[in-house]
Amino acid sequence: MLLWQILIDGFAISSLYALGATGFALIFGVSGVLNLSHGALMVTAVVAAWAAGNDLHLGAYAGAALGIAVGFAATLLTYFLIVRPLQQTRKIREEEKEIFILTATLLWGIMIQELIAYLYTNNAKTVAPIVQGVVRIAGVRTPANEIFTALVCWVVIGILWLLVNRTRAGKAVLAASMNPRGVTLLGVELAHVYIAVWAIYGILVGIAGVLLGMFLGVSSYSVGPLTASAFSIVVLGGLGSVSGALIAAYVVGYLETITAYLISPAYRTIPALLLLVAVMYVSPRGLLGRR
Amino acid sequence: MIASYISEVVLALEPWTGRLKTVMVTPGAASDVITRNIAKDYNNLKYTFHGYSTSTSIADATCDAAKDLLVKDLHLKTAVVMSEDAAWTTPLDAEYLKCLPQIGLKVLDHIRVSPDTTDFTPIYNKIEGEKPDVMITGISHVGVQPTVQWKQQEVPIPMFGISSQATNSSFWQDTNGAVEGVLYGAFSGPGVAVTSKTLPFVAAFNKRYGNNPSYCGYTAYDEVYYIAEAIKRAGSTEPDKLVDALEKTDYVGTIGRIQFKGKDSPNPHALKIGPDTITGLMLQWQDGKQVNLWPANVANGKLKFPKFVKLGAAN
Repeated sequence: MLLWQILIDGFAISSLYALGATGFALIFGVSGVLNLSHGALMVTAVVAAWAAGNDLHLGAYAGAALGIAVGFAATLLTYFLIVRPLQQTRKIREEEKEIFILTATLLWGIMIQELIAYLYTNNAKTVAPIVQGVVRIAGVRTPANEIFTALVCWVVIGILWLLVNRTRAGKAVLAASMNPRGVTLLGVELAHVYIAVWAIYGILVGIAGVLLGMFLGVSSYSVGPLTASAFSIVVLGGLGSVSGALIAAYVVGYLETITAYLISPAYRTIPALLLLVAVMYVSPRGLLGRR
Repeated sequence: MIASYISEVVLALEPWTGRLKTVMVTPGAASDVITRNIAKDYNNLKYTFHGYSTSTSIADATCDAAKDLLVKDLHLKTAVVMSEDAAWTTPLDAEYLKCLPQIGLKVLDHIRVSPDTTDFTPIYNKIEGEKPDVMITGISHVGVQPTVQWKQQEVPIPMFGISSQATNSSFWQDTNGAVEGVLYGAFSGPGVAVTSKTLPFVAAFNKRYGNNPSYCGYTAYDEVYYIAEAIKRAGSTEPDKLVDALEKTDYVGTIGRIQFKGKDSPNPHALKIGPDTITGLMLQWQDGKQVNLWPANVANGKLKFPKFVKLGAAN
């Protein structure tokens, strides 16, 4: 019984982690940007979906759609307002740009967090779930919403895989992540690839955020922990490797769930962080890292 | 100064009230340690007043309500205490563990959850495995997530106790209605005429802000009036004179008759609790409204649970 519970809960949470971290890994792989406002963008999507229900009195579907749209818009705003100007400026030396972008996105995330806290307080927000009720799987009473979450995550990841591996534009993105200069030589405009990747990332952030809001709920305090969890998953999987991030999401998700059930929910995140330190020590590239 | 509803913050401010000789009244922090500190160092810390009930008194009020509502009416026999790990719940839990067996509820387990918890599934699974009749809560920093997940996972055990965020009228919206059936203790509530001042205050607050006051809304409102009254009686804002005047407070506010315990009490400057001063209430969220169920003389509804709650199913 306990085993089934761990398997089911772990699967749902890991799938959500996988979706959240995929976009984060993708933009690092392609454009070398570690976006430390990741958690803030997810929380923005949740709060928008919540406000759609509470302030605008929209239904669950419309609320979720609005949340995804706002998450998408906030992500593109992050790119055009924060990341791109730093990438293009001549005032900062090339080798220093990464650290500038890292700092700028971190500060941007804090600004979003404070704005949300100011407008909507620090109280946790949950999004009205699209599917309600519970179903029994192997005797475990499971919220239908949990199954829905895992399902949507995998459908979206599947679509992303098809997009990257089966379309011309997707192949350009994949190529850009391997060798940006090579792609430019083939006549692909790198700036377009970046915008496409940030747009994909925006959709993933919006969907992952809204699902998280339906599943567990978030508050403005979640900004830091969400960024940290995506960061550790991506580092564990190997910076820039989407498949590494997927595997790492399941390792972290199950490790957390096992700890919460068998030791204590209070120590939930500790073993995963210890594992991260150990992996950094033994194999700094992570599980499937290229950089 | 009227300051903070977080015990950790009030405990940090307390020494400063002595250093700066500034009178401070807290409208919402609960830890008994605040007033125990005054007993230990009265001359220095007498500037702090506890304008809200101590955790011990809150636990006692919860037990009194549980005795009538759960033991007498529903014949429940066992409980699990679930509290967040914070300064205010240490004395609360100690008193819960003492008073629950006295009223006839055997405590099967005592779980303290980290305020950072986002996924309550493992906690609810553990509690359900222990088959208690009721969960006695002590939550304030957390609120939305345990409530929403209780509903989403259809945990069949009623929630009863302290859930500070549930005192906010916006909590129904915050939880998308998941709070339906949750019982929470308070010293005042919408629609409950504790004194003749309560309902006019709620109406005026609602007109001004569009929602009802939370628990510290009532106390903070009263504090403004009895501090002003004390200043008038003292004829001065000089701190020592003001402390003397505040100690003699006898003011009927929105939460009852306000008097402070004396210098010789183990909890100086704590509110006097009892039938002549302040008594607790037990409310339940029903169909988007906060309905008072206890005590019977000010009750305006009857216990009602959502379908997934199976009363006594564990037995």
